[in-house]
Amino acid sequence: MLLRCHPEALEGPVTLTKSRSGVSLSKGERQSPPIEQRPTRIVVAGHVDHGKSTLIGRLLYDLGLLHESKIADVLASSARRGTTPEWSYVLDSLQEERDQAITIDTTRLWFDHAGRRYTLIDAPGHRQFLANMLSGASEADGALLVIDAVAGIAGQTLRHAYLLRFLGIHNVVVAINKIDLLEHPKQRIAGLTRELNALLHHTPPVAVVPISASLGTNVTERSASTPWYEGPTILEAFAAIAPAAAPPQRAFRLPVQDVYRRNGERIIVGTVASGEVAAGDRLMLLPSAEHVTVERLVRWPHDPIAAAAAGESIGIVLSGDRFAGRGDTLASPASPPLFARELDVEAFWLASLPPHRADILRLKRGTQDVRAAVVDVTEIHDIESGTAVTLRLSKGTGAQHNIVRLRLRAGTPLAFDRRDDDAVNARIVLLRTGTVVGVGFTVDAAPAAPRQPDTERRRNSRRRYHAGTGGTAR
Amino acid sequence: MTDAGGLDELEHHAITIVREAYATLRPLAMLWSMGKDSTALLWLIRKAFYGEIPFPLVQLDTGLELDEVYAFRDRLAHEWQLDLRVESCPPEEEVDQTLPPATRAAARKTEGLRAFLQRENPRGVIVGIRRDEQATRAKERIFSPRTIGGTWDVRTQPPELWGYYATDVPHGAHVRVHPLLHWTEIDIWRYTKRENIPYVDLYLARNGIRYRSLGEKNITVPIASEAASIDAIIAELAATREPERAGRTMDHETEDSFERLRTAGYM
Repeated sequence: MLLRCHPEALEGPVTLTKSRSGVSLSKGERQSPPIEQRPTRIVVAGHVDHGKSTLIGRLLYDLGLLHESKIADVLASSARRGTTPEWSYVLDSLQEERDQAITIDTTRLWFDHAGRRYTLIDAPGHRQFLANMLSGASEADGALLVIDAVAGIAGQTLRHAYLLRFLGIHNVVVAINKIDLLEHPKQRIAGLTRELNALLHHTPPVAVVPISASLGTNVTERSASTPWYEGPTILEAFAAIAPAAAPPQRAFRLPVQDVYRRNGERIIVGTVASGEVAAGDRLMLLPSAEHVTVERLVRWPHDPIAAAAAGESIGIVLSGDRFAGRGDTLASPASPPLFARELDVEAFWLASLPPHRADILRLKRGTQDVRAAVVDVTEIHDIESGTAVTLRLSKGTGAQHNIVRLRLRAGTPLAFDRRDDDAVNARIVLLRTGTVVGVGFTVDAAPAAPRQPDTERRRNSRRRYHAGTGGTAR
Repeated sequence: MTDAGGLDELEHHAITIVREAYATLRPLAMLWSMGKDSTALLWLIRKAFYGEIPFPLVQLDTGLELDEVYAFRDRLAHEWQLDLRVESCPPEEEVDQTLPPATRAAARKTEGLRAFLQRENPRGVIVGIRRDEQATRAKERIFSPRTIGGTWDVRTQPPELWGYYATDVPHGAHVRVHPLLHWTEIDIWRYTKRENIPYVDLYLARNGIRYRSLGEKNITVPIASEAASIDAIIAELAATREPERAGRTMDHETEDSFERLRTAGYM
């Protein structure tokens, strides 16, 4: 039996201590020390030079979490480069990062506060390092978007804000930094807040906090220098971001990762992408579309488990020892995924060379890895200007770091979900000559394409049942 | 997910990673240093593959590990029937002489690894490093492609999201796989305790000192500690701000000593 404990269940009074005896443990047999929920992951995003790394360094310093040796290291490194203390050095550990005062790659730091654990993911703000920003942001529960009060909303502010929404991150705390450099901070903040609310109208920010990272204003403690500000500090605003709760009940999906033979039986291994599975369940195996039954969920060195939920890496033995392989999908037969060769996708485009018709890409969806031809580039959405342009108008330029909509024809049919139905099972990456050129989602099967696995199977079956088991396809 | 301290999530994630490495990167090998991290990883790999370890383990041997560490290696290799390859590292005279002395001693392992890579040509090498150990390790990917010379190009790391990993490397190059990247030092000890995983008892305090991190005898020093059990270690770590690798001389010789080691191919 699986118990779900939602993050809210762990939240108590602010004086919550580390002892959480009220929280029951999973699967009953484990006795661990009193422990917290997994850390809340917060990505720190924003335009280059707006002060992301400095803010994180300052936050850790104010929380008293930096060891004297780290503080000494920051002071010495700053002195060597002739600057005032650069708290960003706490994170920017690479030589090149320190020399150029820029974050090149994503990194993460842990801290505990008020009974909760946090992981801060520092994402680079320079456009050149957007792939690194995506890597950091993809795992976050929430975001801290840092904006320079003087420079205002800039190119990567827009792009990062858009990408956060694209990735499905809705809890955003905005920090308006460097307010110590403003002559009329109250008016400026009011103006910027209006701009931000317009920019983030799809997902209003949790809080907009005026701060000075270098002075520590409103970072962990409210500052007397901003009497006109009544909202939370950065640290207080973090408390409003909860670890992403388990998604609402979704249909079971498991992309088959591999199949091991142990003691004469086949164990199908993979990570549950959505929903739950239990011994005795009837499932559909794609692409063959045959119906199969879960005999056992095996573990080592422990006894089999009765059931498993999303995020669990499991091993399944099917009744009748059915054949399966990497790239297959096990799914709920009551609501199977779409299954089609021709499909529409939307992706954030990373490569300088734009997508073009007849481009041959590699498409990864779960453990499926297929060749896919670009049938059409239906739209390029320019993030900074907020406008959509067709390929004919743009001649394909401007795709890089913007959103493209493509129609693809895959070499073999693909199992996937519509982004609007189930974003997790719609996640894709696109590669060209071994390099990731796009990350995004499957939007829908192309209208003309057949959607029923059965119909597709007759034409495209590429797997045979294990000899001797016979076929029980519908 | 229901979870005690995030350990279940960490374990499931790490198992997913090693299975993905085995499915996409062959031949595959794993570096085992006999320390708490790579030993916990070894246990986790046995769980992932139902008691087996379907690839060889490599120990980069300088001949300078502490005696207890060698004894632990031999005991576990026997008990768990490990396919262990001991790779002798070249002497210090053969490594980059511009490195500071302790860093040079550590660089012997880089050379040992290079020799192994050249001879065996694996496409994947599993390593038990963690992000919280050291600042340049924090910049790592879970699947981290290395150049043909085994070096790390920190500028051009591929994007890594949603469990899609970089598995395409040119012939002769390899991918470092880091299943424990998101684990912290405390996570390792909690997991070691929960799963009852063996560890070298030098980690426990005796006569007021213990090793927090195990390295070669000539470049590792114990810390003052009274922590004589895993619970005591966890309590000590929850209270300390002292970095884990404070006892590892090579990290601190110069600002860039560890980064130089790592870009040249060190773990």
